[in-house]
Amino acid sequence: MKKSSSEPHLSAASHSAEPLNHLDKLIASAPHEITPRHDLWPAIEARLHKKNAPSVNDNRWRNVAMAACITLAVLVTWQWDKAPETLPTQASSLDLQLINDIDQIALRHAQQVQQLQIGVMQANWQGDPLTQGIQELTVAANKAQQALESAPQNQQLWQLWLWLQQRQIHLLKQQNKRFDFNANQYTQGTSI
Amino acid sequence: MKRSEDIDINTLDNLTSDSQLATLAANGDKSAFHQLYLRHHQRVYAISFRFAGQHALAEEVTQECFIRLWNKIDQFNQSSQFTTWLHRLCVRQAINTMKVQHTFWQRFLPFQDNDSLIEPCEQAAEYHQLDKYICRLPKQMRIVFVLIAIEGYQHNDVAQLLGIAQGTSKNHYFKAKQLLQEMLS
Repeated sequence: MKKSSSEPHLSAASHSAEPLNHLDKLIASAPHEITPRHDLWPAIEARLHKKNAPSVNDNRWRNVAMAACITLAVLVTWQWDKAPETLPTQASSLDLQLINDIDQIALRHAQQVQQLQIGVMQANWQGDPLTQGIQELTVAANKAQQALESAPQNQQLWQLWLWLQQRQIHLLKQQNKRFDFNANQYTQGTSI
Repeated sequence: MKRSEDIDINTLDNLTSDSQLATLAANGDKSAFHQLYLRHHQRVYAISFRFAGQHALAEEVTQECFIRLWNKIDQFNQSSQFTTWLHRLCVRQAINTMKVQHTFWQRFLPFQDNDSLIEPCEQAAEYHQLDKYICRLPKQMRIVFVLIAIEGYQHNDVAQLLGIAQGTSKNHYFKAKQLLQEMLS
């Protein structure tokens, strides 16, 4: 691709000629090659035998699962400790209404999860970090729901519960994308 | 018949063109692919490092680029220049890896301000002065600047690559130059 030789929209707005010239000189003298600090070949070579494996980095998904577990553990523990303080001694009519809302939201969420899981049901990904992350989220969401049913006016628990549901849906969509990617990767065209 | 894996790597270096190495690598010859790596990894790393602004991520991006290259090398069209093809492939892969890395943190830290997720900036003495300043730019602005100013892309190409409007690309580039000028002055 051709290098931009002029930027007329910049010239009028430049603060002063000197720094611009200095910047241009720096750009012109910037090296096109940089040596990595470590030899990257062994790590690359180790993955070459997986030529047909998905390009998703296994370590990355392991990190994702770990991060999810740590985040959830901290959040659930924190919220769980706070929940008893807001427990009502007697369920008010507002609480009953909220509990009803919780049940309805939980039902809709379960239906959505079920729909998303259909696509990947046949893919046996037991032990996959992403699958583990989804399972952790499911457990955490159930716990949050139980806590919320005990304290339906606790706004933080509401936020946590809804957030957990969103994350669950998001990861399920990610898993579906990976499933689609695996299914379609051998039919890709010649584009990069 | 002597297998290509048995060919001395120096022989490959001296006698074989990129296209020939690509053909060998497409047939599963890791020595040929290693030779391609040796020839081009510094170039790929330069792009990755400038996109990422830090070594750890740059190394991951570079690795992903070469894994992608290994998986796609059989699609290399011998009529085009290998370095051009490699460059385009690596730029696309680097952008994708950066996006994945970005959404990773967004996904699990939803309450956190994204601006607080700025990576550590490399300030080692061995780097070119421009690279020390580039890494201080916000991520997307940095990528736009590197593509336009250093890699020679046009705004319409950058807009297409990053999935942004051409005006946004120009705006990022303009602001990047402003910020760099302020750093230099």
